[in-house]
Amino acid sequence: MKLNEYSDFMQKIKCNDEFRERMKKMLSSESDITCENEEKISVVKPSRKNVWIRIAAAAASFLIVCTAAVSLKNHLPSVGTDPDNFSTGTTVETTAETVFITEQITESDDSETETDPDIREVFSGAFDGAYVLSSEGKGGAPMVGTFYYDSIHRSYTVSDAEGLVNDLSSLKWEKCSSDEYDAAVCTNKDKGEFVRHYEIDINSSESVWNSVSISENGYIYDYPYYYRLADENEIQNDLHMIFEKYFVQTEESKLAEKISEGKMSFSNLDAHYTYELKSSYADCSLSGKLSIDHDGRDLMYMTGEGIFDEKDVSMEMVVNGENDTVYRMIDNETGEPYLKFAYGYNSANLNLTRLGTQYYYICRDIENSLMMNVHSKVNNFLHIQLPADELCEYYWSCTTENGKVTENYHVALKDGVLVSYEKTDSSGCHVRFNLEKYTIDLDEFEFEKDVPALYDEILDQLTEYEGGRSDDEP
Amino acid sequence: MSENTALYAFEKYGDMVLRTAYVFAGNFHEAEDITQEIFLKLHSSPQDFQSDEHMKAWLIRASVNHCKNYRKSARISKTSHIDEALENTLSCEFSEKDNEIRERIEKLPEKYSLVIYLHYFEGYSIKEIASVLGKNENTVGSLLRRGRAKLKIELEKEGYAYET
Repeated sequence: MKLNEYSDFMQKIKCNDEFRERMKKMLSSESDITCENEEKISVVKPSRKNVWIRIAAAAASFLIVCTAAVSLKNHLPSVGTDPDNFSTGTTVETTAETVFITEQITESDDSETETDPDIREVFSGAFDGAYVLSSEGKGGAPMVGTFYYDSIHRSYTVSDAEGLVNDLSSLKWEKCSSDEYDAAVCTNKDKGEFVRHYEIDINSSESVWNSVSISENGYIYDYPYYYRLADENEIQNDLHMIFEKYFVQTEESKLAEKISEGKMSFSNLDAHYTYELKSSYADCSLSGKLSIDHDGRDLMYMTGEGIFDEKDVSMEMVVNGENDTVYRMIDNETGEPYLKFAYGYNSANLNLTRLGTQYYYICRDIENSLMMNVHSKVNNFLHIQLPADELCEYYWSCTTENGKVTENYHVALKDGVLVSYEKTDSSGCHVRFNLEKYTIDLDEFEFEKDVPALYDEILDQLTEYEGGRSDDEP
Repeated sequence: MSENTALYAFEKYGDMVLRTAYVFAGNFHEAEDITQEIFLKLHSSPQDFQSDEHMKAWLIRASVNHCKNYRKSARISKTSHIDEALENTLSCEFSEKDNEIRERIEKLPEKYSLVIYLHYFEGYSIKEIASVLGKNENTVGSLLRRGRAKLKIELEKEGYAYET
């Protein structure tokens, strides 16, 4: 088949009329959706918390679902028992209890202040067992799997919703402007860094799209309204106590925290590692030395011998700090450099070939996979088997809503340090990483070569498209 | 730029984003989801585009990055060998071979699949691809050559006659 014939085929892929109409409604400033069942309004309490899509506070119409009975894929719970009971372009199915209301929401006046807002009303949709996702650092709450290296995400469940609502509403709150909220919660707008804030699921146990956000410095965001604690003194003593009392950390979050802390918990580490990646498009195996020094200048040095891209290679990697990685790979047959790059965890360099051996990034990936599953729990089942031993092993699998397993994980920690990791996914991709013969916190620790000089040497050898780090992605 | 950039962007480039998402995600339902997410994200966080071309480049990169995230996400569900949703949508016939070619392109390392897609399916020249991706033209040319060579090998393994 000629590529241009395939190209002709590809050009026929277009948005169908119903998808186009739906998108136009969502992106337009006005909607022409009318109420279908007005007599239900008096029975069903309309709540602005049932916003099914979060958009920036602006003059807009939006669809409010008064009961959780409308099925729009990946954003709301499904109707009935069949999660795939609609297909592209079909009309949205509703139950008798569903009411659609169109409402013109005006942007809140930034100069408006209101004392004694009804915080009980804000959190009225809270329920026992609701998911809470905390985020801090770059990027705020992760959007569809965008995790930054410097961001921290943890998950909890609400132990007692009624108690939570009572205690929060016993504090004094007042309305504030979006500008004040942004300034208080986003600590560095240029870098997109946020203070810790908790997104609490409201009225739904399946998605964080219906949620209220509360920050550790006393700000609430409940679209399109913002509130702050009137008395800053209540933040430390009262607000944080409420978080501790009612947010119970999940098991997967505890594991993520262990892995995150474990990778920095030692003064030095010396180990032999093995790494394997097998998939339909790659067959790679490397083994070598891993040395980490956290005293003085944070450095990691790795060597590797093995097969990569069907070549017999030798590799050296230096990590300066945690998120500044350089490596070079030599083709042993020719003696010539084969690959060399400088990159960070979120580098957008499209030429980049990442190596799966970077120890900190492995820890980070595992941590994020635990949080990813929580964030999109509506489609996943997460099971963790906890052992009790000197060597702690964890197993879990991720499944789709149909129960099909998509990924299996096995992780082992010793004294909190990741020593083994294995993952298989439904495409047949299999990754394995092991630390062997490792020692931690040696009194006499030295790298086998001048690692800072090696870092500079590799950096100097990089060309324009092999170098640079960028965490900026659209 | 139009007052409602996201709506304008969708009307102008919605089909392109859908195609790009389909090429890299491999599933029509997910391609629609990705398309929806990209434009809603643009709606909630408007970008300052200097031109339509700037907007198009941003959308292409956003599509590819969203597809990368989808691949990493455990949310990825079934991938049917024949995409029934796509069959229902298209007026043309959709064969097993067409899907295999798309899979071969998708399985190339991203640095190759992206330039292959932009050159052969969106009709960008090397110079334009370099501008979209912010790369050196020689780099793009090199990636195109190597990507083509890799694709040829993969297609010939499957018994296809590879012709450009």
